[in-house]
Amino acid sequence: MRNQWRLTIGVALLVALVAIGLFASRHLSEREPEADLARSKPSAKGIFVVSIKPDGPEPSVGPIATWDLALTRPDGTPVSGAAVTVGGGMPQHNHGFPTEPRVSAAADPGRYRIEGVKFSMPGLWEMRLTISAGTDTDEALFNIRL
Amino acid sequence: MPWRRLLCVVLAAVALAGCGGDSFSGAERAAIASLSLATLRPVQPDPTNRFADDPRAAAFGATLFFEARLSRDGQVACANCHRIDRQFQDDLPFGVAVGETRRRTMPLAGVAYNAWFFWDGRRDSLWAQALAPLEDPLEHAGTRAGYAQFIASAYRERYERIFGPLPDLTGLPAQAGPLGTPPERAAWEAMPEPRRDAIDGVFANLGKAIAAFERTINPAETRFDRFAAAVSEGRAPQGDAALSPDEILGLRLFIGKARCSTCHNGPLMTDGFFHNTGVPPAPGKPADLGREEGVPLVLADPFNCLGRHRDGAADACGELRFIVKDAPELKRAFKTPSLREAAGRPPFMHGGQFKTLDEVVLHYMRAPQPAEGHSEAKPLLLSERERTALVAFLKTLGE
Ligand code: HEC
Ligand code: HEC
Ligand SMILES: [Cu+2]
Repeated sequence: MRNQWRLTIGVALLVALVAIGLFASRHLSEREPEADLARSKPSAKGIFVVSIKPDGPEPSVGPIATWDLALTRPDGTPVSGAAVTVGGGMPQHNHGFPTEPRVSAAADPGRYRIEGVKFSMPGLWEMRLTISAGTDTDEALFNIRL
Repeated sequence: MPWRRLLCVVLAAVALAGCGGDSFSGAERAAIASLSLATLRPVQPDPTNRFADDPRAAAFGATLFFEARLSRDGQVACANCHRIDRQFQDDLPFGVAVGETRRRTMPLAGVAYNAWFFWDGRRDSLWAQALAPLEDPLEHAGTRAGYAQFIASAYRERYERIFGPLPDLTGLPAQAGPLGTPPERAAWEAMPEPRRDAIDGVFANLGKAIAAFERTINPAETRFDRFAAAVSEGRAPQGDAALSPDEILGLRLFIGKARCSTCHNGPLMTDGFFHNTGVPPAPGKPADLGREEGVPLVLADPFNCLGRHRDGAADACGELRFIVKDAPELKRAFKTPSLREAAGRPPFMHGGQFKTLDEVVLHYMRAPQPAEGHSEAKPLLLSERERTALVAFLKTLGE
């Protein structure tokens, strides 16, 4: 009788262990760190409010796309005439973008176009915008998941 | 007695863990589907080549592809190195024609899906690519003036039916071109600019016909694709579509822990981009900086997308306009090859550095420091079984 119980408990423990192991190997290892996927946010020092969105469908691996960029001051005043450069890539893979996107002013005040944006693999990408307007320079970092 | 029973239960549990092949997570299912040939969209139109999808041009291109007279010595066809019965490659570490090239001949299935051509991406369209071997002194070794005259004598009618009248070629030197021997270069320089331009036009058209043919070379369905179809439809794979537990383990590693599918992604299993993965230099060859060399070459190519022989508008030239010009990661970066049917075409890598898939996997496990630049590969801990499983999976992609 005692043996029977011991056996049952042993088996239950083992099955639980295997299940936990399986779960861990299946799910935990695949999980990427949580990332802030907001498309609109204050720049690092709070000088600008920066918003980006694809000019077209949500991004996918392959095509070269244009993104719209809107720049304002925290009080909502549009920021025109800014010089913006784009950097970034895949931080987890240590590589940059497969293209060198360029930013140009669009017709409306505070509006810009980021041309030449391409993603070459699925995963988490970073788009880093460096913005200079007058004497102010600040950065905004966006995470984009494909 | 009870311990035997316990052992049985443990073994059963372990076996269950091993054969979880039928229970892919949602993310795994999506990853498997994304690699399946069924998700390959039709090849995009190429507005820079208005003959890209013209069947007459494709048929003419096929003729040219197998035409050995399209070379200086009349012995070299594209098909010598890109052998039709060998996945359009030659099984050699380095392509050989008039001389030995410094890199491995690339297979052509699905080639039209690329944005960049050659291991270093030094051409930006399939038609501009085709012109390079024709004038490479180690390959076809001819000149564009020579080719124009050959077409006029051997294929005038076929050419003109597709592209319109050939320019007047009377009095043209037998050989002349900017990449020929010094006298051939001098002869080219001596030609008036409009005449050179007319010859360039004929030369570009040969590339456009060959490209139209190459656009029809597509990868074939493999065991993996039949397996993936079953998985995504939620039915049990039947017959050869049923992968073995080892093959499934390999697949899981490929899309999971081994992170192969970061670069080898999509239905062609390539991101079409350039990476330094620490592959050692090809023995006996000059230093090869890969993409770092390819960038200035494609920018300088007169037949690139921004050149005057492009058809259509310049808005098709996004890749060239937004090319990454200088970044440290371009050094010794080579184009990610498709892994479809790779198992059947050793040796592997840009200089045939590895003879077996096992050596390839071992390389990724070790992730050695590259000769130059920074490798994106990170050391990988795989058990003996996982190593063979990864190789087994690669074979399900065709041999
Ligand atoms: C001497 C053998 C040889 C001949 C002849 C040859 N090729 Fe190649 N081909 C190669 C090698 C080697 C490479 C890779 C070279 C490199 O990256 O520097 C290559 C690359 C290519 C690529 C690039 C594929 C890709 O995925 O980027 C295409 C397309 C191609 N060749 C088509 C042709 C055509 C068309 C012809 C005839 C006009 C031709 N080749 C003649 C050996 C050859
Ligand atoms: C960082 C991007 C990257 C990752 C990750 C990656 N590869 Fe590659 N793979 C490449 C590149 C680039 C080459 C060509 C390298 C060269 O020739 O120098 C290549 C070449 C190969 C080849 C040779 C194909 C041929 O036709 O010569 C095989 C096989 C291969 N990889 C399998 C794998 C496997 C298996 C994994 C996972 C363990 C993996 N790769 C991970 C980029 C990658
Ligand atoms: Cu990446």
